[in-house]
Amino acid sequence: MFNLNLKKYFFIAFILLTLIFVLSLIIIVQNSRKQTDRSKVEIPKASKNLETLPNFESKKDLENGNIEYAYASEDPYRDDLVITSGEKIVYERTLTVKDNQALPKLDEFTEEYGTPDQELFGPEYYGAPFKTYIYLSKGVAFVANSATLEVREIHRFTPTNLEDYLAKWGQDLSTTQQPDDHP
Amino acid sequence: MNISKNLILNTVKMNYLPIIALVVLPVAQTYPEVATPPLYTIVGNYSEPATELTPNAVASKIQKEFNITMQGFEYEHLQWAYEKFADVKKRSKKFFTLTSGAVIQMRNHEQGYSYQASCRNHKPVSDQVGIYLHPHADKEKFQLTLIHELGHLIQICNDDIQAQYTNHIKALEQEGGITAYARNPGCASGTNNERSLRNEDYAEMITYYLSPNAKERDIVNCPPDNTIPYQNLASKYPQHLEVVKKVLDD
Repeated sequence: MFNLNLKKYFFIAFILLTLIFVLSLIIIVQNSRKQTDRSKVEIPKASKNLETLPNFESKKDLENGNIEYAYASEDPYRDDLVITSGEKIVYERTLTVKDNQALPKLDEFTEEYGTPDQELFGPEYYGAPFKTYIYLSKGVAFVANSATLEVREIHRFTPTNLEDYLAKWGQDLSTTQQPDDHP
Repeated sequence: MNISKNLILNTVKMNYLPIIALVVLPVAQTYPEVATPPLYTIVGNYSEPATELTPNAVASKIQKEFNITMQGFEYEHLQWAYEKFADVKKRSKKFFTLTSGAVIQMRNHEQGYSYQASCRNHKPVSDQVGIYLHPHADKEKFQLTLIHELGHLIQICNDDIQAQYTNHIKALEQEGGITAYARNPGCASGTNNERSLRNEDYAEMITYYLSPNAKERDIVNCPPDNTIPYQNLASKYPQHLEVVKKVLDD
């Protein structure tokens, strides 16, 4: 009788341990999937792989000889972009928008990067009160809502000066806020 | 005789009260709408006629009850604004959390333009007023425009999750704009772009969800559909409806 009860307890303990093990496994796999999703938005290592990256949509030859690769983002009207010059990636635009997830806040980045070299209004796609916070020497810029300070986009580019940046990547940025012309 | 009368009454009460309650309560519940009280009752001085209230007193009531500042308006427009806000509050208290601190300034525009210029008192443009609002002579048009401009403020001046930014653009891509103006905002300004399509559709969604009986109004040079957008939300734009419920429902 005692042995039978002991066996019963061992069996229940075994089942419980198995359940805990399976649940832990599921959690670990889910976390690693999240990390994989996040890693896809980082600058790819080699341009030859760009067409095989997840969410690849199109490839376009630009007038200056560069090539633009577009990837579907969570915003159906605005793609993630990678632009290459020869074999080198010279620009990347990544949207931070994710399904029902809070966006990162600007101060998370200013803590790391310091005060931006330039704050310009735009891009036009978002309009007021969005701004682009540019770190020219570090080759990074953040597009954020200046009212809520939520970051919608992260841009990476070859470090440069303001004139070159505006000519290449900031043509729709402005030093003054452009009011929306729609009632 | 008295004893037996009481006995009968008590028996009737005991046996029929639940039945009476079952009949009376649902009937009572079919009349939950209480008309917005006129301003003079809201102020609390029943002997004071509404016309004796100054615009400042009404603006101050709006500020106190809805945390929205209205500047430069005449008494009549302030009263219309108060009535609309009181009606909106019955449907969504959350609306006033999302618009809390808004500053609306009266601005006459020859074409009747109103627009949302900035977010509350946020630092980079703190000298700007949140919304410039044209004082339309038509009450309903004024009220709809008021909510439309505050709809812009909800979308642009709140966190993306609160405003349901991503879900809205997905709904827009799937279903298109919910009103004639939302589908072609360029009729007012001459240009359609992704920003105007997105922003105007959002403001229209807020406006008509909170105005269930209103037909689409005309905006500047934009002819409206002869439909009631709220009804269309349920029948043609279910994703928009889901989004706006997430934004506004308490």
